[in-house]
Amino acid sequence: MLGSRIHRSLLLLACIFFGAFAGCVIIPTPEHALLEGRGKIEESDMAFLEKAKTTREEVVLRFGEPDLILDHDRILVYHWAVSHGYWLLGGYYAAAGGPIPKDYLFMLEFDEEGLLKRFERTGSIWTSAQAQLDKWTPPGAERPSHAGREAFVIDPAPQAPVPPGLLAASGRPVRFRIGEFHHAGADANPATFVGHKKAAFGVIVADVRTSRSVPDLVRSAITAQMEAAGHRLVDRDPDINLTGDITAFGVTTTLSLSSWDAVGSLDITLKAYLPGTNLDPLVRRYQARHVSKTVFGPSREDFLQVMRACLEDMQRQMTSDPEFSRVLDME
Amino acid sequence: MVFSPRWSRSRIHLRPKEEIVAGKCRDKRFLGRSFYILSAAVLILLATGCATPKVQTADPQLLFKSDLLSFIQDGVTTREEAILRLGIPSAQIEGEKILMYQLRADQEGKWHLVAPFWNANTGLRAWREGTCSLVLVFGGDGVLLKHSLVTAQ
Repeated sequence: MLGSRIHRSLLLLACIFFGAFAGCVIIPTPEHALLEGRGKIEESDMAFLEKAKTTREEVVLRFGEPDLILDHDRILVYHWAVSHGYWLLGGYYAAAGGPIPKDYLFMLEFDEEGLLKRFERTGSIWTSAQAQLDKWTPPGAERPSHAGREAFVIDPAPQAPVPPGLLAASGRPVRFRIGEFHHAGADANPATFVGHKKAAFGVIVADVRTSRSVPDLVRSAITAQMEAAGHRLVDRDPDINLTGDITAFGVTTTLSLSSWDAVGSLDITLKAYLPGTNLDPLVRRYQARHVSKTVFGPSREDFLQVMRACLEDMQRQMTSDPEFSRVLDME
Repeated sequence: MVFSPRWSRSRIHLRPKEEIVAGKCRDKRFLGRSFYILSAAVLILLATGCATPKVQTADPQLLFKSDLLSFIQDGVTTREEAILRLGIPSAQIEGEKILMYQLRADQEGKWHLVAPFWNANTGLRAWREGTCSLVLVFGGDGVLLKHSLVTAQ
């Protein structure tokens, strides 16, 4: 919120300051182009909304996924920004310019029964989206958790499975089912949160998240490797059931005098059950740790690279594990 | 500097050389600046012609043309099937009643699931151009009641 306000104030100050010495031009235009958001919602689109009648479901079916969901689905927010003019700043040898954004918010509040309580569409050039939102979310209300900090969203799924190795030793395809993978850290954090980028004195400068939940990523990597070895994923009557525990799956950073590194780590316990037998499950533990060294601080790509390397390492350990291979052979 | 030709009594006053050179430079600068301002004005005029995309529901037939989404049928598709085929939703409301996915079509018109993005300053969703929202509403028995694909055009 503050950043956006400061940015706009600085722009205005810069125009006034440089305007005195060079040329600053502000050209107002009709609203056009889309600078942020998915698309505009016009007053005419809201004609079907009726207080105490329209349901949350109807709103979402008409306008799609909200840009923000607050207070346990009580408030839905749609946001978009359009260009409402241009600023140009010219000196003798240099010039700069850009669009003047106008932020729009369409906010809807629902009651306990999911019926529309109130709604409002606001648009302003001078007030940021966050400031407009603050008027609707009184102190104590739930705020967007990602605000004010950079977020790196990564999808570290391995791009191609590693050679099948011992997984294909028997040459007989196995019907496998992927069960639940319990993620130990998911109780305290969202299922997609994997760590922070930290600067000196442990100051958090960015969140690192995965585009899919961590158990989903691990299951996908195991499935891809099993399928690459010729085995088949099934939903019922499997030859083998695979479940597991994810003790660690995350990133962190280490800072020294010469480098600022991204560190990815993975610790997974894989359990293989043979349905219809009294045999104890085979329990295998796979661990991996990878580091990406940087000078100026890890980027999104560095975090992506270390976590992808960890998942590929896990796949390699699976393919070279004789114990796991023996279970697949049904010995 | 004064120039007096023999055949004329009139005296022609010429500007000093430095003044003439400086004037030419001023003219060049003026022309250069005018060019930039004119170019900017033309660009702005062109940009003003760009329409703002509007949020609207897409033609339901669009789903059936796609391999990824053709399984979606009201009264038939179950929540389990949707999650098995499409994975974790990008957002959900009212528990597991309303599931939402983000999709983008490639140049051949084939739909792909995309990961949600956030604007780090505001915490609001950030949408890449062409991203659509698939909304699935399930009944108490876990069977699809209604669905819609919301696009921006």
